[in-house]
Amino acid sequence: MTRQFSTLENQTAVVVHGESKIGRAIALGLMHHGARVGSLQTRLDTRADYESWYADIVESLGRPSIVVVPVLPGGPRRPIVELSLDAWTADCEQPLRDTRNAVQAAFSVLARPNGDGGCVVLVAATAAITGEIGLAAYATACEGARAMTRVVARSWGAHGITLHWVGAPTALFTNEGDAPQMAMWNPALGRAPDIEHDLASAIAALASPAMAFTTGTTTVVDGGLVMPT
Amino acid sequence: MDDELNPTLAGRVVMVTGAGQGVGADVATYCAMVGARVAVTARKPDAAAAVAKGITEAGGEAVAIRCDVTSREDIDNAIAETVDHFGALHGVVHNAISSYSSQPIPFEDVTDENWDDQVAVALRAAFHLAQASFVQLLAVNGSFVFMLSTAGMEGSPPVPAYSTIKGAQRAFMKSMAREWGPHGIRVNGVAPIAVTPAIANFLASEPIAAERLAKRAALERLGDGVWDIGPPTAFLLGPDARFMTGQTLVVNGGSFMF
Repeated sequence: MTRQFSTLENQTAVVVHGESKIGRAIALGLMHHGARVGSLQTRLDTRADYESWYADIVESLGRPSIVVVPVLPGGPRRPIVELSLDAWTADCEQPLRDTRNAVQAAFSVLARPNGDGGCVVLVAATAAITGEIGLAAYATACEGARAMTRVVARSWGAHGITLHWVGAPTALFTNEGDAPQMAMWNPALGRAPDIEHDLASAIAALASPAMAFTTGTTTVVDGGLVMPT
Repeated sequence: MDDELNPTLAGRVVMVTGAGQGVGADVATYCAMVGARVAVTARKPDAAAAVAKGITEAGGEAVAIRCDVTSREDIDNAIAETVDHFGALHGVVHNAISSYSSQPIPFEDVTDENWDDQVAVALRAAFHLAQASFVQLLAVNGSFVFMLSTAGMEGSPPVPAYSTIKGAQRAFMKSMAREWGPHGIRVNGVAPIAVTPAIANFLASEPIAAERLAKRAALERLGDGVWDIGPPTAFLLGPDARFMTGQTLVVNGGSFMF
């Protein structure tokens, strides 16, 4: 492994949904930044499952200070009027609940006195901000995650925990080769992001000491495509 | 209908969820005052009936319909009853919220039961209401309005699940607006701050928040559900907002400025 930076030297990070393309790339990217990384390879159903997994990480890699939770869709694009209740649940309620479980459980390892504070980063699609045809349910989960970072940041700051929402192009999450283009312009920086480098670097920056006094933010890592007000 | 007011919703039929009390009742009342025929829907039939009675006694047109928005069957029935009664459906206001929404609780202590109920009332019901009302709204170039909350935009720490879920609702609103725009249906949101039983309940437990909330508003007061929240909601439901969709009107007296 070639380390590009060492911003996260001696820190342990956990990456939920390490089995997914985006989770795996983020885990690799955080390792390049010097972190010890625990990458979850199975789906966990409850908060207790997450607490148990975090406890295992404490034993094997040391107490985590960074928790990364990608918000993933359940299925393909479908208009609201054609969505079954099962599909709605898989695209909206399940990922939002899973995110809640992962974040709630993080309290047990990050909050003082058990932990020493830390940073939670939720990674989701910019469809949360723009709204998107065929992805209403998933966009709802992503925006719920964004609202979650803000409200929880306000409460957990006193426990030394910061929270951030990182938005990335929706196509990275839906794995669509020919995703409908919602934006009027091309990315300002002229290309789509590379997850392992661009996305993981942004997460590492947010989790680094340099950003210790920043919390509840929205950071869009898409090369300058969606620019939220 | 109030003769002093511009009848912006004359001839239109509006259905409001969670209209048995609070902002829902107030918005239903205002819509009737500006000419709408209103379906007052609520989980508690007595509450819906009382609001509908108040509207009809003031000279407006209203029908009370029992509707628990966590039941798809209830939603389908409520829409069918509204159309049976008034002949069409031009506007839907999804205002219902869970009874858990105003109960302060730290995020780390939010239970599955609390969470599931709030998701069912605010999010799953939005999905069901959208599906169930689409054909009616399509027939008349209708309008759908979500009662959102600035808690979802800036975060209200005493009510973290509510804040999360109201934030989530906003992306549903935007996506729905994008999907339904080509069909001529507009979808918007109102993020109000008004004195309601739920807010009063919350503020009673957080007196510091009550003082801060009023002082924080540029207009130095909390809103009135009928006269402050009713008009912007009726505007979004009516023809004057014909080029607005996917938007959130923050109606809070200049508190949080988005």
